[in-house]
Amino acid sequence: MSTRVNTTNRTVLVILALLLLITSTVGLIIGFGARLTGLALPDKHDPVLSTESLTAANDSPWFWWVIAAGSLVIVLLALRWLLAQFAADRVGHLDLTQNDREGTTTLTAGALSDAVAAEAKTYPGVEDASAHVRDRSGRTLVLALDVAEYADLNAVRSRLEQGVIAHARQALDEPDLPIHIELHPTST
Amino acid sequence: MTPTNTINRLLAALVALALVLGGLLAIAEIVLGRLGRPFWFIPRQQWGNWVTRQTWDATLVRLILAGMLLAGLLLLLAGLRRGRPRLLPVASEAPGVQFDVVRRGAEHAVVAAARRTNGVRSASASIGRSKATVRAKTDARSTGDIPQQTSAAITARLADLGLDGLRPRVKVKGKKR
Repeated sequence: MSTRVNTTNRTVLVILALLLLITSTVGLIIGFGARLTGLALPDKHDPVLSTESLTAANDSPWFWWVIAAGSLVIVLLALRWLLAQFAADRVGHLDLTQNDREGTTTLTAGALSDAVAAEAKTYPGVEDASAHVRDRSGRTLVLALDVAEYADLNAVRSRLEQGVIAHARQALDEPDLPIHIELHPTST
Repeated sequence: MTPTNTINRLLAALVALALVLGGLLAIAEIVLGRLGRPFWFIPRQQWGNWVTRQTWDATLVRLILAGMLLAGLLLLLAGLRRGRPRLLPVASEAPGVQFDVVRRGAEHAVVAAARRTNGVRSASASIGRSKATVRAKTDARSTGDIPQQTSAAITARLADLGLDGLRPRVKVKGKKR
């Protein structure tokens, strides 16, 4: 699951919240007959929508089409937002092709992940390991480790940097491959 | 994923779905209306007449606006609430490598460190973005130097985990007289 989706969710929720708060507050101010200096608000006895406005909208050749176009934009944006909630950013295959004319090279991400996890598990203090590759504006190898309570985390980190991280980057021929390591201390 | 993010994701999915369905319904009714066809789901004429009869001080209008205000407050609360992080960043000197400690694991580690302190019977921990709070209980009537010892143990454990940036906060409760 993506941090980007979480940030988008928070941003869109706040924007929608502000729209709701502003419109409802202005509506309630009018409804309770409060006066705001500098603002020409309708009277509380005025209709929410005047017959003249509705007739003008219905008579206009373009008004409702503009509303429909606006609704379409909202539908498309909302659909994209909805689909983002269920989108997975895990990669199934890694394309390692360097020259298309010489053929293609594909590596199953699971194979790399399994190899990385298996190597990490051999390190002292590492009780369990799992890995996956995600693609979020660039590939990142994510390695999750359960480390024993007695484990020296500095030693584990330096073993990872010299071993599994270097090997994964070498396997993908990406010396700068971003690596994200999640350490989960376990209680025994 | 943290509970806050799960709630937000659920809320986002519901709001997005409502916007999609509402938008599609609006488009369908507008197109039908422009083509002079009868309504599909929303009796447009009736709704139009109803809205033009409602004044701003009508009870129903006020209730709808109050409902919108409440919904806005709830969405704002959901959007602004950050909750506790799932991962705690650890400083890393290796280029392109990001280390994080899983918060729950760090809490368990801190609790274990606190419980190893002499005199501590039980402990619980809660780690946020900037501080680690530990609540410990002792069977002794007086807490004595247990808070200092617990704090030292926690500080050392946090340093082991690479979380030296977190401020330890210890509360020790003695046995009631």
